[in-house]
Amino acid sequence: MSLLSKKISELQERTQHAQQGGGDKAIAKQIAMGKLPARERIRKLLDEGTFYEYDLFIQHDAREFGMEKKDLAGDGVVIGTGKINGQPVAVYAQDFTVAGGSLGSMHARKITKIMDYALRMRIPLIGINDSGGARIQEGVNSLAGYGEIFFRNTLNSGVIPQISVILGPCAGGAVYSPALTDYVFVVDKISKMFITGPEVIKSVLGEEIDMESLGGARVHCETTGNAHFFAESEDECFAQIKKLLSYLPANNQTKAVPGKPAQPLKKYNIVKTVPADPTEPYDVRNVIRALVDNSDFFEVQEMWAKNIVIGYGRIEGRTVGFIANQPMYLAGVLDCDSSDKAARFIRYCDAFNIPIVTLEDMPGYLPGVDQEHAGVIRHGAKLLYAYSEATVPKITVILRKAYGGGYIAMNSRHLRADFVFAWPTAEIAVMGPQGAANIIFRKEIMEAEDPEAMRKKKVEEYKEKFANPYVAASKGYIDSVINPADTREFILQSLDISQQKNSGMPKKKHGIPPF
Amino acid sequence: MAEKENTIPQAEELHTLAPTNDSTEFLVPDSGKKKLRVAEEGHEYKTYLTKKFLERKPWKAPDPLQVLSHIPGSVIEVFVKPGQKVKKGEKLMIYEAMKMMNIVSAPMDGIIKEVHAKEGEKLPKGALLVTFKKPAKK
Repeated sequence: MSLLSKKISELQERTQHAQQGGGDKAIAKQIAMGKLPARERIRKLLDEGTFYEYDLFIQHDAREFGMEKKDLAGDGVVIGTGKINGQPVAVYAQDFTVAGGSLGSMHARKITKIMDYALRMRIPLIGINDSGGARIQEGVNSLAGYGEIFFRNTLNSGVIPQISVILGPCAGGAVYSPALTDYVFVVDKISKMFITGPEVIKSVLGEEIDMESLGGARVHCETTGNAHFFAESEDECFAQIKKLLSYLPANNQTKAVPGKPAQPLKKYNIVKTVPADPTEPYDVRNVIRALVDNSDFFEVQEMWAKNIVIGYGRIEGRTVGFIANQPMYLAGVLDCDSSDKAARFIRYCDAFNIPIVTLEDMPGYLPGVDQEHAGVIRHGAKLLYAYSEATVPKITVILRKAYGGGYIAMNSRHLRADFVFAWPTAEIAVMGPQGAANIIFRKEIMEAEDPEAMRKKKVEEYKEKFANPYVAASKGYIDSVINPADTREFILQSLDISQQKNSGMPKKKHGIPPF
Repeated sequence: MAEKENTIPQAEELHTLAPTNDSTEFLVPDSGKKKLRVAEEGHEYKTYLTKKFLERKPWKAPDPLQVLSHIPGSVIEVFVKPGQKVKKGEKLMIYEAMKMMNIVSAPMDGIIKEVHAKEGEKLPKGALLVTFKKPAKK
């Protein structure tokens, strides 16, 4: 055997050894838990044969508690680069089979290395989390590692898309990396996220709760809003990630690769979807489907704050971010959660040059003590801030109700919307006819012989005069009253016109949004 | 006011965060000596508890057999009666809230045990509308 082939066979041995992770037994255990091994996950996520791994031979540097004798393959995390939809991405995956995927200083250094790399190359970063948490034996070095990751998440934010995939436990401080990233993917029965687990909660507060009800995939998609995409299996989850990335640019200096232009499907009829009677609910997603190419609408945070719908679609191939009130849930009101949900999405679209289309049909902010005390003022302000601040093309279509503060908040002309269209069914007014008539005609109603009849008459009068788009149109607050059937055409021409849009903000270090 | 802010709080105003191994002992809301066990280990120390913390409601597992209102509103029309079999997604009632005739639909296949909401009734958020019968075990 020549010297070179000896060296090469040594490399092969070392590679094989390092790539076996925690060994056959640990891998069998991982599979028994319904989870895939780390490299298998990466292989399934990336385009075939595109993965290149780095830092395979990293060794941990713990010297306490007998750790110096332990050999931890790759220190429990796999990093590298590859392609998704033919576009380059950086990826890391924690390997639960190696010391429970626990995070020590070298483990963290591998992650921060690939994060820095992603930023430098201006490519999306995908992190697969599956870890028992901090490696206690490494003490404060482990905490330092988390801090370095969080700092980079913040630095990268708004420059490159950052995606977190929770495929196992992600508890304690570790949860803050996903929370700082743009999109969090979870899988039923596999993902677990919480700051303090059921045992601590029981011992401190006496409250009993199981892990799934506390921080399972469903909880984070339905209740907390921490996660954005819910999947039944890891395979479904990977398909969702690929689909999401197809709508996004690689970084904040470019635009997403356009899809092939196509017409919406015939079965989604915009005119038939929306009842003219403003008290009748409908599914606003079918309006979006009637507007986008192939009627393909990719919804984000589908299960949380359902009274507002957010997500991506394409119009003539170009990515568009949609925000729409959902009359089917809570009458489509704005409240704390829906404001948070929409505001963050707007900032995302704005950071990555994605035009925003807003479909408006909402009766206003949700009244109630719980909302007021939960801080609906503070939360609602986020929506105003995000819309006002956004400089990407902003298009609003008012379908039916646009009342009060909600009218202003939903990307009105006054927040510098570029194009505002209204359907003839639009009702743009300071409040609903009932409420308004009761205030304006209070005296007449009180003094009438039959107050109830007078109230009805005055409500009708108000409706006639103000519950329409023409008052707002007469002031130039909306640009055109349009036939609902022409909505796609109007959006398309607005997008065409605003391709070179250049609208700045006053010079500042940064604003102070109502976080 | 300024004086009060500068004074170090008296011990009795504070709450003890006491290390103890008795896992049955936790927050006692109205005894004046509110105890909060923070961890199995560590030193005892004292702290204020916020009003929000003291008034918080402990978590209760939701009952899948109950249909609750999600928003304050009025019951306009009820379509189901106790004993009636319904399919998932079937209309249970129309519930008007925020200028919208919302449709409350069945969350599952099952038999209605009780209809709590009456037509014309105004209800707060979280009010019990309908209870389903416990499905027979297979």
